[in-house]
Amino acid sequence: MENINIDATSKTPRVSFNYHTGILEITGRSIPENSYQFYEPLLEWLDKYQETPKDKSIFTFKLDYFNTSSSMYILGILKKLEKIYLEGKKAEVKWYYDVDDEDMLQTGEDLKQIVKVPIEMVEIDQEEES
Amino acid sequence: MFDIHRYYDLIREENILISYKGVFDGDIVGNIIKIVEKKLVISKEPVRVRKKIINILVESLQNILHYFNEESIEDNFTDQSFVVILKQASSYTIYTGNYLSIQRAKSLKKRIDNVNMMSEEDLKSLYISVLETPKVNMGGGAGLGLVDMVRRSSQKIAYDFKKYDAHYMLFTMQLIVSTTK
Repeated sequence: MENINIDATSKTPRVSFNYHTGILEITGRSIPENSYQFYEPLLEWLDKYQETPKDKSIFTFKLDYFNTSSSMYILGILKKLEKIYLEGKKAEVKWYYDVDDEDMLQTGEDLKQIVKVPIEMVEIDQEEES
Repeated sequence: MFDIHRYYDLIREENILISYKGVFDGDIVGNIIKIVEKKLVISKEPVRVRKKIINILVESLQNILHYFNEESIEDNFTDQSFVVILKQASSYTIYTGNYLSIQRAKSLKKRIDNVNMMSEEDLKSLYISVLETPKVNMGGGAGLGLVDMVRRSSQKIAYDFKKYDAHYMLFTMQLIVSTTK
């Protein structure tokens, strides 16, 4: 299985899915007009990954902004991880939010209510982010 | 006759962060976001304020973009959409506007009235249920967008529909982000 490495653009996040380590990361902003185009290949990859996942999968979301059409796919990703988790493998999610960004914290809390995979809220304090 | 000094005085005195009228496509929306973000950084607005404004801006402009992609609107309306952001003493106001069919205006009005009436708790459960079952949509892609915008903004969504002719209306929406917590 190939790893996924996608560079960030002004509208889409950096993606790094490593099959060998089980470390999966999405970083940056996710505001594409067409979220399907961007996220569908990621969901397909996760479909394959969940057939033979690593003993432990760690998924990191470190997002600055995302639009509502991305949020549906973010939930889609969480559902795949939930499946891995419910089938008995270790899986955890780290949801980063800026200490000043109450909405990102709120969204993380909302998502926590929907899926059963453990989501850890991780605070970042960087007033001078670019 | 056009008076550039009067116009300049207006944008200066009203503290207009950005004002754009024309077509919205992916590139233009991207560039507007870049300009607004840069200006918010320059004026040292806190992360909280910056992110709220950018999120609302993205959602509202992409709603307009999707609407014009989905529906066949007469060509002379496609470059008549606008966005204006004003800076006030303790808030930013985001205005957007676009033409839409009367039919669409009716369903949109209903949806905005609906989210405006809801409590924070109700909005949260609606957000979660739409997210979980996108099919239980409230009509069109704007379903989750309105809920998201009203949750991020500091007040209800103010709006106006102005009749243009027998088929079209000019829809104007106003969202406020307070700079004080």
